Amino acid sequence: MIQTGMQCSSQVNRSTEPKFSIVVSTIDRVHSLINLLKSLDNQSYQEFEVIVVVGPSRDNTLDMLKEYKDRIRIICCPVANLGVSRNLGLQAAAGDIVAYIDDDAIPSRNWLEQLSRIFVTNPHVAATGGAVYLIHPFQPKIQHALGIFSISGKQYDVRASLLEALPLEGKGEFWTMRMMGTNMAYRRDILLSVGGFDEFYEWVYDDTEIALRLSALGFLVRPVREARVYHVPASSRNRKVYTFIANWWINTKAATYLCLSYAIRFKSSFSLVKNYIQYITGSHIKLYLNLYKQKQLTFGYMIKSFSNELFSLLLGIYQAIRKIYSSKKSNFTTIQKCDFKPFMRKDFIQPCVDPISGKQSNLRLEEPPMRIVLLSYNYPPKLIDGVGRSTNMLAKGLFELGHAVHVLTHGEQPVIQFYDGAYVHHLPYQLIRYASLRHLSSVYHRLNYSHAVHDYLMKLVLNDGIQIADTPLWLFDGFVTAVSRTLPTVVRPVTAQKQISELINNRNQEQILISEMEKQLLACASFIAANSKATLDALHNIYGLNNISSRVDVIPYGIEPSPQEGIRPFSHHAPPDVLTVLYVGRLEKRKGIQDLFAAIPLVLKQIPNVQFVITGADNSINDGFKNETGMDYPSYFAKHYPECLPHVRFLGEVPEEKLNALYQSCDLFVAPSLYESFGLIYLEAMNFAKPVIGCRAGGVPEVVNDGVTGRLVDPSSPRQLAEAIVTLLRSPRLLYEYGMAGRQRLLDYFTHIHMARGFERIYRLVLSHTKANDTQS
Amino acid sequence: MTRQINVDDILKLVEFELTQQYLPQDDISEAIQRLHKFQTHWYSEILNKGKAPKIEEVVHALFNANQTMLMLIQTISSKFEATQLELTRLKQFIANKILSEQYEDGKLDLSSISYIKDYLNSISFNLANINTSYNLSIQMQRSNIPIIGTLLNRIRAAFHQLVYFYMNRYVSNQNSLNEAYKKLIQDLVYLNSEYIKQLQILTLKLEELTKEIRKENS
Repeated sequence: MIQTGMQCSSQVNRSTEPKFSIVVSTIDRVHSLINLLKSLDNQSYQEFEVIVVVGPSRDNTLDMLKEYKDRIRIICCPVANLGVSRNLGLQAAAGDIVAYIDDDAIPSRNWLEQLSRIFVTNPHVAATGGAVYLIHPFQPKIQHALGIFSISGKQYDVRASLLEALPLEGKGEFWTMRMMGTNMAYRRDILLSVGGFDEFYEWVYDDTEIALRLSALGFLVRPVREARVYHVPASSRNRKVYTFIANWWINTKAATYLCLSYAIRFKSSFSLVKNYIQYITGSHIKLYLNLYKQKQLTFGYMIKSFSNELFSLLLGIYQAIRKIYSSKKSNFTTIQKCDFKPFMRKDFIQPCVDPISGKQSNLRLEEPPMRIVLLSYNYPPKLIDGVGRSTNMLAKGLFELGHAVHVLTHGEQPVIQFYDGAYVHHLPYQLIRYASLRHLSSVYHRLNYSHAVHDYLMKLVLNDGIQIADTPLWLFDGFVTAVSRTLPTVVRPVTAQKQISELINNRNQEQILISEMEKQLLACASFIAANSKATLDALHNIYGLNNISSRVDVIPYGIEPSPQEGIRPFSHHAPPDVLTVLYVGRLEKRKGIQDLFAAIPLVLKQIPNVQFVITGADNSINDGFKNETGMDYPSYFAKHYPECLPHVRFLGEVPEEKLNALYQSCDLFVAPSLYESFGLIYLEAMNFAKPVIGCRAGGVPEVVNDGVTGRLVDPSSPRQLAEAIVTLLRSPRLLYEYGMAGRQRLLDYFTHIHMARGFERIYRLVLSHTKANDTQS
Repeated sequence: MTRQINVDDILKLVEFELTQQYLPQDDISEAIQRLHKFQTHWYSEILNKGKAPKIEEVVHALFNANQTMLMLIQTISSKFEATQLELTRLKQFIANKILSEQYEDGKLDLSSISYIKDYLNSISFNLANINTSYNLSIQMQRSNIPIIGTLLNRIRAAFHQLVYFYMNRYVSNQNSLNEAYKKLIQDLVYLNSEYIKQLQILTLKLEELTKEIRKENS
């Protein structure tokens, strides 16, 4: 007998730590399934079992699951039907709560903890579910969050706000909240009492129907925005991933059946239901036609799809009418409760898994992986600057050491991607705070962004159990988090704003304020990890770091070494006819671009067969050069050195692939910066076995070994620079030897793993310190 | 002469914004903001300039607002359930501490309570001042044309009365609904302030117990 919500509410389980049964239905997607099982090892909530319901599989799913046979229960489902599969899982479940997740999804670390909290906090909640983020290479989006559905078929997967998404024509449509099948949880006894899932739904709408049914019976269905699941879509029998080719008629059948049966039951408006069914069938037919026009479908398949569509429509109507007169209320006869089989094992630590490729660290971890957030306003592949690049390398290195890494970067839409070992969260921000600072544009923007970062970080703490945040000093993304001391924050200083202001002689009120804020951020940091001794010395001199913090260390940047076959050392046996000198960096005073301009004619006087390639964005407006001269840098060069123009190419900002090709094809790399906190560009050239020339300034001498991997000259000294270029270009042997020595130096000291190891040590130190403080207090 | 902004001002602003987000962070405040926006929009549409909306649009919009109010109340009530649970936990916590007598420092950080209290008081005050009943009365411009003017006025008045008859039926429904919302929200505000009182009493009790345990230990 079916109980109503009120009847059941007196019997609800009030356990403060309910046991969960996670049910995963799968067919032919073993690769994704294994990723999911691996990720479940890192769930913060320990009390759960896993039931895998394997459909009529044609791949090696059952063989691959043998590895897990002691930890999971495997049930075979004879038909490819999601409703049947979900019910089999439900009947086998021994937990108090049954949570459903798709085999191509990865739960956030606190997924079960969040779901558990909802059930414990409110014993009357019968069903809940969290947000679903689509991890898609081209179209990432929030796939589902607080979805709502009406019996006339209207559906809002993401309810943007409580007001806007509520439809105007709401009367009599029985609007209800719904969960998405890939992230939903139910009290087992309640789900059993209502007869489980309707087995007519073989692919879609099963999740919607059960939410409707529970609501209609008076149970509380309360999805939430948290308890996130990351959905990495994989192909199935019914849909080819990344295309629109799918068995859409199953959708028509399910929608017709659902809307019609409930419309009859609730005496709702038939015209609304009819309109929806017309709309859904019509849109499918249009889709088949378009796919045929685009030659994605054959003519025969299109005709088959049309007939399937018609047949499904009729079948849906027939089943809906039949259901009204059916006396069958439950799919279950007698249910024997199985023994709970815990999934978690204590003797093994699982490194973080790449949800797309399934890659993970090969290292056997002795300590549990950390959950780290790296902040960087710019981040590849979209926008790259030195901070973005180094953050990217750090994320990649930490992932290879087994840690869970999240990167928070600026974006137009609030979406999540997985890139180079890290979940990259794109964060838009609005100028809704700090109105009194509107006249200080830069500070106003940075603070608003930092506050948006802080808000999002708190959500990440809730969902993914983030332990530590790492922010660059540049643009101070983590300012609000650090000063509020809500999360241990490591600061990565680069060139300080105050230093830049002094270099370019810009001391306005805003610059002074930014410098003060940088100092404050350093003061609030749990640890300061400078990229070079020079950076540290500069911070000591400028901000009096000695008085700020004793917890500082130097961790040099590192990059991922390119494969050995990708390097191009100088061919000293057969030198090219034209030698290429490459410059990479913004065109600005600090990067020494004017010194290079002055050196070019001196070089060409002695060696005419040289081509200079200058790549990087022109920054003449921001560094005041345009104000002084009225020209940008390329125009300035063209005006003052017209005779050298045929030997110089200005490429502007170039994408990463092209940049790598430029590094590979050059013979010598030159970057005469007046100051570099580290000089990642030198490492990038060394990566391809190229000799480098830099200045004895900042952290450059720590990267470039003078006379071994390249040459160092004094800053602002075009003559010395020209001499060094000429010396190297005239010696093929030096070009080769310096290049190879540079490559070796990179492999020995400056890989992304070296960098990640250093930061890993610091993070552990900070976390142990935080833990000790917590214990003391 | 105006003083230049320094980093201390920035820190104060950050602190202020962090306190503010105590409310704007969640769904309730988002919904309140949306409702406010909605009210402003329809107020200007109906009573001020804007295009003249159809009666259906107004009714739908009101329905929409009512739905949101219901959602709001539902969300607030679930938050109260959570508070209630926290109170139960706190009581258990105190009971456990008395038994174990191992407790060293039981002071809880309830600095935000005074803020919530002020906020609730302001809601309560505002609610008390809201006029939830409203009746539409005829506001007709009279025609001064000789002879047919009287006839025109009568016809116009009849039409107005017809419209107002139906409108008033709807308005009276809405009035009773608003009254119910008002009462519900007032109840919730009262309930929450009671919770806060309980929480404060419990905190004081906890502090006393801590002092006693310390005395005994010393």
